[in-house]
Amino acid sequence: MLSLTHVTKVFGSVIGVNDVTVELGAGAHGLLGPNGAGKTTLLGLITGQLRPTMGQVRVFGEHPFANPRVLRRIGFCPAADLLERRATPREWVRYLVQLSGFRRDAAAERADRELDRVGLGEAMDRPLSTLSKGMRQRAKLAGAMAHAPDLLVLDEPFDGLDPVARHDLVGLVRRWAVSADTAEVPRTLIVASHLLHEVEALHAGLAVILGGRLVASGTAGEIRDMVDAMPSEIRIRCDTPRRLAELVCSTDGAEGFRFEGDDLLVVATRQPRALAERIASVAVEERLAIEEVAAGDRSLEGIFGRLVRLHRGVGS
Amino acid sequence: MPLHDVGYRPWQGERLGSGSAIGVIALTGIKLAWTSRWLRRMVFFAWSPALVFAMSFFAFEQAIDEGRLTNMRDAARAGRNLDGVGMLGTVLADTLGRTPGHAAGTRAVRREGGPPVDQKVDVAETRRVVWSRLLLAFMRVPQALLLAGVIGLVAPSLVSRDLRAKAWLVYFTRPVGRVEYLLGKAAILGVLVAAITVLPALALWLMGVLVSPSVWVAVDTWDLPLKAVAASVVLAVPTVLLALAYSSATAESRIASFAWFATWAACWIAHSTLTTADMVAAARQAETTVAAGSAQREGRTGSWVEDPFGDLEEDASGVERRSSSSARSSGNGLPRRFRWLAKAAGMDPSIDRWAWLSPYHALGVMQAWIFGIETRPQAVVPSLVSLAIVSLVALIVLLNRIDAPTRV
Amino acid sequence: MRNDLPVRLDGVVKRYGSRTVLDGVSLEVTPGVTGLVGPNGAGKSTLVRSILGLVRLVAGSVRVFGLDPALEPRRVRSLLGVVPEDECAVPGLSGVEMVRYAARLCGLPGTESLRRAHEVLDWCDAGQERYRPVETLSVGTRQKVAFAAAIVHDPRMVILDEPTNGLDPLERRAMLGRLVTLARDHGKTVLVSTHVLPDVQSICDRVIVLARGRVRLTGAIDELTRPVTPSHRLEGDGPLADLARLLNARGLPARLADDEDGETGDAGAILIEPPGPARLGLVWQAARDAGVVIRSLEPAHRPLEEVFVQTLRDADAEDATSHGSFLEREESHAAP
Repeated sequence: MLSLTHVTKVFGSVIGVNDVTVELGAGAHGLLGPNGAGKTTLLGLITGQLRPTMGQVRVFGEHPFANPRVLRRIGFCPAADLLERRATPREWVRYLVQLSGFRRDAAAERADRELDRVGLGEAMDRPLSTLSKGMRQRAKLAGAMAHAPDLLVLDEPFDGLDPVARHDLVGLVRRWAVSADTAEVPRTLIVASHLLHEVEALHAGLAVILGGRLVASGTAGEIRDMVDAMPSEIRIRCDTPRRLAELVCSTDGAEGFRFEGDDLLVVATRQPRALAERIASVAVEERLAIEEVAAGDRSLEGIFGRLVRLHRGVGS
Repeated sequence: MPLHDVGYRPWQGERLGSGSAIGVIALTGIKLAWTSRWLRRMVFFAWSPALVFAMSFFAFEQAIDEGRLTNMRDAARAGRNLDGVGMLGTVLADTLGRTPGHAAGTRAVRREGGPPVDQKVDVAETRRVVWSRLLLAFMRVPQALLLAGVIGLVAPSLVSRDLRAKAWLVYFTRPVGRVEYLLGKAAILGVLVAAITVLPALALWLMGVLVSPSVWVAVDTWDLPLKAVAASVVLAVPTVLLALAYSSATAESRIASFAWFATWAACWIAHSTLTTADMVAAARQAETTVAAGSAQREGRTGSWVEDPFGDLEEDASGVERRSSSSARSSGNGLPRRFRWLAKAAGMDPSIDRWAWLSPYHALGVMQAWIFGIETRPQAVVPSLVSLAIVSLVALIVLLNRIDAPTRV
Repeated sequence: MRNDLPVRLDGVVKRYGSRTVLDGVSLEVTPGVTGLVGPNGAGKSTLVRSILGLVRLVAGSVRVFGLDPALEPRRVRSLLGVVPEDECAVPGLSGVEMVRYAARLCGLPGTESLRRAHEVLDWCDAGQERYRPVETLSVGTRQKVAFAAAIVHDPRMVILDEPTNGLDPLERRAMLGRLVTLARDHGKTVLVSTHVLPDVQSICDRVIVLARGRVRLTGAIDELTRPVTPSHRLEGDGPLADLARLLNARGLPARLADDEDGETGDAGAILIEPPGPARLGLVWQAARDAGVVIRSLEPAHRPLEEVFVQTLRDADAEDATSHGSFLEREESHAAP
C-alpha cells in the first residue's frame, strides 16, 4: 500500500526526514514523535506535497509527488487550521470533493453525508469563523474523508481540542479505521501525534520517529517485547529492602542493587520478567511485606523515553 | 523487527576519491567568503568596467556597420584625433593610423604588410586588433586592480584563519593531503578570478559577437576567449600563490592583508620612481643629442638601442611620438584621460624596463604577451622570470607552512 | 590476524632537534577501549601523530590495520577518526555544517553527508545548538560536535584526546557510554588519551602508560588493578571491626581496608578474601549478626591511580640518573 525506501528530505542544512525505510500495510498506524521530529515532513512526502531529496516514496505503487492518480485516493487533514473562514463547512467540503474529481451533484451528496457523520449536521451552513475549534476540526476531517479515500492521513488531528471534543473525534477516527478493515478495498489510516495516549487510544500500530529517523515500528506489544531485552530497573518498595536484596542477589539477571531511603530497593536487570517472578516467589516464601513493585519504564511512555535516550546516546 | 537502528549505526556507502576534497574545500570556502557583504559588493562592482568597455565594442561594430571605418582611417592618418568615440577612438586611431609597415607589436599586421592607402580597411583584421586591444586593456587595468583588491579581501584569512583556529587538524586528521588543501584553497580564489576577469571578458566578447553584423565573427575571433582565459590564468597563478603564501606565513590575517597591499603599492611606487628617473635621464640625453643635431632620434629612451625592431619603429616615428612621448608632454594627439589605455592596450611601443619589479606591471606585460600584442623577448622575459620566481618561492613557503603545526 | 591489528608500533623513535620524544616505543592497540595515560610531555600527542602519519620518524615502524601511515596516509586516515586535544573547527560554519564538512572531506557524497551528519549529531545529543556557528557554541557542545565530526565517516578506529573536557557529569557519563557502545556494539577500536584516571578505569579494557617517550606499562585494566590476592570489598555502616573479627572466626579471612590516606578508620571498608560466590551468603549473614548495614559489596580493585603512581615511581628509579622526578612534580602540583 505504502512504502518508503531510504527516503531523505533536507531543507538547506536542516533535515526533515532521515533515511526512512518502512512498509505500511492496510490498517491504522500511529506516527509518534516529539514536535520537530519530522512527522509533518514525512506526511508531506507520503501525500505528495514534497519530493524526496533521496530515496523513493511509493503510494499504491506509484510516486505520489504531483501525481493526480494517487492524490485522488488520499485524504489529508493538515495540522494547520482552515484559512477560508468565511465559507460554511458544506461549501468547503463540497469544494474539496469536487477537487478530487467528483461531479457537482455527487460532490454535494457526499459532502452532506460526511458532514452528518462527523456530527456537523446542524452546523454545516454556518460560516467556519463562527464554529468552535472542535467543530472546525470535524469539518476538516469531513473534508479529508468525504471523497472516500483509500489512504487517510491526519496530522495532529486532536491538537488543541477540549477533552470532550477529543473523545468524540478519537471515536470518529477509530470508526473509520475499524471500517477500514472491513472495506472491500483495504484502507490505511495514518495519524501523526506527539501524544502517546492518542495513538494508544486508536489501537494503531506504532511508528516512532526521532530526529527524522524511524527508530521503531510495530504494534505497541512488539515494541514492549523489544524493550524488554534492554537493561532496565525494577523498583521495589518494602520494609526490609536489604533482606530482599540478599534473597534476590543470586538470581540470574540481577545485575546491580541500589538502596534509596529506608524502604526502596532498585535492581538493575536485563531480564525483568525472570526477576519479577523471583521477587514474587521470594515474597511468598519469606513472607516479605512488599508494598509496591514498579518496572519504572514498562509503560509506553517509558519505552518512548528509552528510545529517546538510545537515539541520543545517553545511557546504555 | 520493530526496533530499527536506533542510536549509532555503521555507514557502508561508497566514498568518493581523495580528489573530491579539493572541491569540498573550495565550495565551503566560497560559501564562507560569500557571507562577507564587502566581497559581494566588490564582485558586483567588478562588472561595471565591463559596461564601459561594452560601449566601445558596440561603437566599433556600429562604425563598421555604417562603413565609416575608411573615413576614420583617413582621419587618423591625417593626424586627427578620434576622441569622439571615447576609448575606442584612441584604439582605433592607433590601429587605423598605422601606415603599412607600422607594426607596433601586432604580428598579424606585420605579416600581411598592410593594405595600400587607397584601399578599403580590412574589417576583419581591424576587428581582431581592436577587440584584442580592448580586451587586453580591460583585463590589464580595471580587472587586474579589482582582482588585487578582492584577493586582498579574501585570501589573507584563508590559511591564517585555519592556523589560528587550529583548523588544520580538521584537514590533516582526515584523508586530505597538503596538495589537496592547497589546491582547494587556491580554487576558492580561482573562482573569484573567474568571476572578476574571465566571465566579464567572455561576456564582452560574446556581446561583441552579438552586436556585430554576422555571427561568423565568432569563428574569426575564436582565439580571443581562449586568450582571455589564458591571460586570467597567468594573472591568477602568481597572485593566488603570493596571497596564500602571505596568509600562511602568519596566524593574523590583518598582517597578511597589509603585506599583500603593501607589496602592490610599494612595488608600484618603486616602478614609477625608476621609470621616471629613466625618463629624466633620457630627456637629458635627448637634449644633448638634439644639440648634436640628430633630431631624428628624439623621443627614444635608452633601452631602444638594443631594440631589433628599431628600424621599423623609426619609420613609425609619427605614431611613436604621439604615444610614447605623450608621457612627457600632453600637447599632442592623445587625450590625457586615455593615456593609461594606450599603455594598457599595448599601443605604447616603449619597453617598460622596470615592469618585472612590480606585480601589476609584470602581469600586464604577460597578458599583453598572451594577447600577442607584446612579443619582444626583452620585454617579456624579465617579467616572466620575476613572476616565475615569485610563484615558486610562494609555493615553497606555502608547502612548508601548511603542515608546519604538525611538526611542532 | 596479527597483520590486521588496529595499531602496532615497533621501536619507534622520534626526535625534535635534540629532544627525544618517542624513545623506542613498541606497543599494540587491540580492538576495544584502550587508555593512553602519561604525564604531560610524555609523548602522547606525538604518538597519535605518528599513527596519523603526520611526523617523520627517526627509526621504527608504525602499522595501522596493516598499513604504513607514512606511505599511505590517506588510506590510513580514512580508517581513523580523531578528536584532537584542542578544539578545532572552521570558524563561520554551524555545528551541523562542520560535521558535514568533515564527512565530505572523508569522501561522503553530497546529501548523504548531511543526512549522516544529522544522524551522528543526534546520537551525540547535540540538540538544536547544531545550527549555531561553532565559535559561539558552549565548550560541551563543541566537544560533541568534534566527536561527531570524528565518527561521521564510520571509522574503524577512534582516537580521542581528553574527550570529557568541558562536559558536565551527566554528559561525561553519556560520552564515556558512547565510547563503550562504539567498542562493544560496533567493534570499533577506541584509543583514549586522558588524564582522568577514573574515566580510564571505568571504560577501558586496556591501558598504556607512557612516560618520557617510553612505554612503562601496558596490559588489561582488570589484571593491572587486581589486588595481590583476589578479594571483595565491603562497605557499610556499623561496627566494621567486629564484623571483621566475626568473619575471621567463621573461616573467612577479612581485614579492615586501608583508606586512601593510609589510616585504618571505622568508617572505611573491609576486604574479604578469598571470596567465591557461594560464601557471599555467609558474609550477609555475618553482617546481620554483627549489626553492620552493608552499603556495597563488590570485587575489590586497586584504584588505577595507585598503579599509575607506582609505575611512574619505577620509571623514576629507572631514569634516576638523567632526569628529574615525575612524582615530585605531581606532588608539587597537588600541594597547593
